[in-house]
Amino acid sequence: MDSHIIIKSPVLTEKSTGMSEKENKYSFRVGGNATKIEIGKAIEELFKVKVVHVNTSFVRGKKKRVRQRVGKTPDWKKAVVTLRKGDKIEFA
Amino acid sequence: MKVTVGELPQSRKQIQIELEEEEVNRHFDSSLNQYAKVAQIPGFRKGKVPRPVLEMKFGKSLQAEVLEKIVNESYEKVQKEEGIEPVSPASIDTKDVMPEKNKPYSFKITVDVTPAVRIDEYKGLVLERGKIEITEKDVNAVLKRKQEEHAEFLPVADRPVMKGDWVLLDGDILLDGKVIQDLSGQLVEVGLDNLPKEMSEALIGSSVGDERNVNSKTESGEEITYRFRVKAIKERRLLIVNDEFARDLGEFQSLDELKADIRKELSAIVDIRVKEGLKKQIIDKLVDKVEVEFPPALTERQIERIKVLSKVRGDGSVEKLGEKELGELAVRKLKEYFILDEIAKRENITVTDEELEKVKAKISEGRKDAEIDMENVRSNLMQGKVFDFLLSAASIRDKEESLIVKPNDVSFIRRGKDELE
Repeated sequence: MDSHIIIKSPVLTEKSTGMSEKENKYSFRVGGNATKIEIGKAIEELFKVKVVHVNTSFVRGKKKRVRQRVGKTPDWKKAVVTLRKGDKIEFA
Repeated sequence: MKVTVGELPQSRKQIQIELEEEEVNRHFDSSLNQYAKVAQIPGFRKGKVPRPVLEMKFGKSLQAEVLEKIVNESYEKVQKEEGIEPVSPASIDTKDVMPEKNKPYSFKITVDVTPAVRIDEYKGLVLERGKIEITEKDVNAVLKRKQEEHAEFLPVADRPVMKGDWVLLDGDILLDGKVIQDLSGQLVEVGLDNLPKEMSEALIGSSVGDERNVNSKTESGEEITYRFRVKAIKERRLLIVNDEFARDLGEFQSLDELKADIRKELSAIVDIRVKEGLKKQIIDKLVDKVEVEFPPALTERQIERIKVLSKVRGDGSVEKLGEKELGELAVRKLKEYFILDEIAKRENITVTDEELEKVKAKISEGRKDAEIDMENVRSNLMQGKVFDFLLSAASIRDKEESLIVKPNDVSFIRRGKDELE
């Protein structure tokens, strides 16, 4: 599968940047059907780094209210990728 | 920061400024700090956004901001350190390169500066002072004018218009069928040069109530028609110049007193004329000694200034000048200004605040709500002082001249009066 379909975008939040700085763990939004192995390979290919661990989780969409009606933002899959010590990813 | 200042013709300067890496980074950091406090980016609390994220988000605008900061700060510094006095906005050449972090940055500034005016021989100028004696003839001429001003007009009923009469008219002047001047209620002297010849001829011999239509052609071949009716004929009777005439004019007791007053007035005018003449000589002599090339921006501004001033005065003398003459006039004025400025600097001539206040008070006394341009007042005062200095340092020769007041030379007297005030 194409790496760009597996890895959708980086997650840029306080928590994620904190983790990347302190623990060398980078977070991404990934495709819902992507497996940990696929994700690891994709990251290695895209950023030319060595992946040590991949942890994934489903993030539930938030409930949003539009007037009386309750809506929901989509669920998505998050992957937290641990890199080999010394490897780095720069988003720019 | 490395600064290289190069001279360009027309008193322009090119400043090459090179900044080292650290200085560029310092600017980036300080800009980033400002952003960091206020930036709101989803996923982060306000003020908690890390640097790299900020740089990523605001990269472009950050660069523009840093560029502005760099240019402003270094230009200001250069002005101070190199003593550059710009006279026009600087043009900045970055070659479309934006500053980047961790990289040195260089750019060029081209600016028009105050030209360096060098003048050494300004002491001991040889000047000619017009020595003007006020003669009895001059006084009499003024008297004659006063006599005419205060003449009585007596109506004439029993005879037609003669040369020398004054006629009250009703009518108008047409040019190609269009009214260009309304004559109603105008009192004209027949046979005087300022009345068209055709009109004078038509008037002589006409009586009250007569209507005339005179056609003629102008120099450019347009048809001009004078259409008028004689409303009244008047004869001017001059008053006899004697003590009584003097008393009628106002606060004088006798003719001698009036004459003395005229003399005083004339001599004041003469003084001003003499001083103006000396000033003109000084300027002429100094201006010719100096060769300066002014930046075009400065000359243009001066031309604008001259145009505005001439509009205010409304004498239209400038409109007649061509582009080239106007330019020359502007350069002359500029030279004058910078030369006087230079001399003031050299001789430590300054204007104190007290002197300024005095003049200011004097001006606002005359016109209550007048807007006073203090810079202007200051420079005028300064120029006056420099002139006084130059005069005292010059060697002056007297030259006989005579003042001849013509009876019709009203403008001369009026202008003189204005200058006195």
